[in-house]
Amino acid sequence: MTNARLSKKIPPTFSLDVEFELATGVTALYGRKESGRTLILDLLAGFATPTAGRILVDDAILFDRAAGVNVPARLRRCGYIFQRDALFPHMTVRQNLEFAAGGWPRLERHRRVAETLDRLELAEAADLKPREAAPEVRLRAAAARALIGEPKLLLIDDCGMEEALLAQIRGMLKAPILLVTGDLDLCCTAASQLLVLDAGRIVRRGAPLEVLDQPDSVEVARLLGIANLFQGTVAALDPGRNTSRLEFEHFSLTGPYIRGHFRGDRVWVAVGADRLRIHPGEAAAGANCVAAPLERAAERSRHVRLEFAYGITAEITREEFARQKDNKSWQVEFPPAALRIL
Amino acid sequence: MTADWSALWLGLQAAALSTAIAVVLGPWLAYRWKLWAGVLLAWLPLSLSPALLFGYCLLAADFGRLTAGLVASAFSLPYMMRASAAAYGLLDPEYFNAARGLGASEWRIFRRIAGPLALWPILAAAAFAFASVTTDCAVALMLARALRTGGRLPGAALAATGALSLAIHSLGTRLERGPAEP
Repeated sequence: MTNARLSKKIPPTFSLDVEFELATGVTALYGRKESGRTLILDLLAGFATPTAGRILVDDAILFDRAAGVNVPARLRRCGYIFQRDALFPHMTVRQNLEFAAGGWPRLERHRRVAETLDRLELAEAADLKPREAAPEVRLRAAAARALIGEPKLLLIDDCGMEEALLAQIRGMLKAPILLVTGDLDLCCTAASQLLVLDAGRIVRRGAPLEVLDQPDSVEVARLLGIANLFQGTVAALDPGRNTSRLEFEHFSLTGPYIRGHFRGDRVWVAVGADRLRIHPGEAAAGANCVAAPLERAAERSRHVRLEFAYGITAEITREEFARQKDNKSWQVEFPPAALRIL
Repeated sequence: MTADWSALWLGLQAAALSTAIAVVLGPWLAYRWKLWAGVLLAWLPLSLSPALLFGYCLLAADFGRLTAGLVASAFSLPYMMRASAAAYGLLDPEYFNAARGLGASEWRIFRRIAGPLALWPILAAAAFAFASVTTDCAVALMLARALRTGGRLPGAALAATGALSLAIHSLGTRLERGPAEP
């Protein structure tokens, strides 16, 4: 079992207070830069000391304030991939790995280094100094260096980790991996658990898709980058038909029945930009369709982001945009199932 | 009249001994006790200038190269510790954390990471310490002898001391820049 309860106060104002359990596989830690993400990794690795708490990795106590236990960083067996790879600049990639495998007998060390270089496709870069290697090679080298000692817990800071490399790492390591990232796509594809961190607190946890689909609070929705957040009033509630009527400043929508609320209550509604549907303005107005002028269209790598009046943002495929780009006016459809009442 | 080179010779011997002590101990002491080196010893190189030390000692009594070397260490060692601590301070702290996370002891980190990465500033500091002790020791000796005997300062030896100091300082400045990038 691997779990941690960590408290850390950093004067004058920041305080971290988190508790989480890590299962084998990838747990993603998502949050803004100053939310304490790297501090959590540093506390787990032993580079900083918690003000209070307890760290248990693979059933071994690494830190327990109450019992006065604080295992030094060099004995914790926590692999760490830093934000800026932190490869030793005066050593080649191979020497970096040899340094990490220093605890093994000579023959075993050579075997491990050769095997790790091979598995992470670093054989050709083995004799390069870090400054001579491409960024993706450096990242692979940093991963190889962290993995060679068979860590009991792997900590990965926000280093631009890619899905393919993370899959390789998962294949090589049967231990929990805590990944700090700002890439929600990576969270969804690679992580089995997502922890959303805000100002030193975990504000939401769960399976990544579940967290994204049900953000729980306005803060979490904002953190997750959900583009459409509207504050409105509950105008009607119909438990028989399982519907509600929500009125906003510029439009009104029909949503699912909202338990625990009354008419007149103020609520926040979150809708992912990719969940909205776009129709030409000339088409017959359907349910939950809002006529809104298009203010801006921004082409992205995989989709087109459309920004309408009233703060509505939608994302559609390039093909869909190509079909509709000549629309004289627009309607945005809010599917009731996509509305998340916060 | 032949020039008296003995003062310069003693200065070189004292500098060699004190620099050797400083190079062997200074970088490790600075690595292990950064704060101690930085705060407690910061004033020593400034207040215990070798000229003052040598001047006092020479006026009080004669002494040989071993004593001169040890006295000069009181300047060289703290100077080397300060220079080493400054050089470590310029390194990315993540290198040290990375090494600790990989299971390395502090001695191994010093030997394999901190030492090699701070090598050029440490060598430069050694050159400066050597030049400083040579000059100050030799000049203090020349002055003390001239004062005692009422004789003149040995001009050639004095000029040679100055030139040597300049050359070693120039070497130190080169070392400080490190090896040329390929």
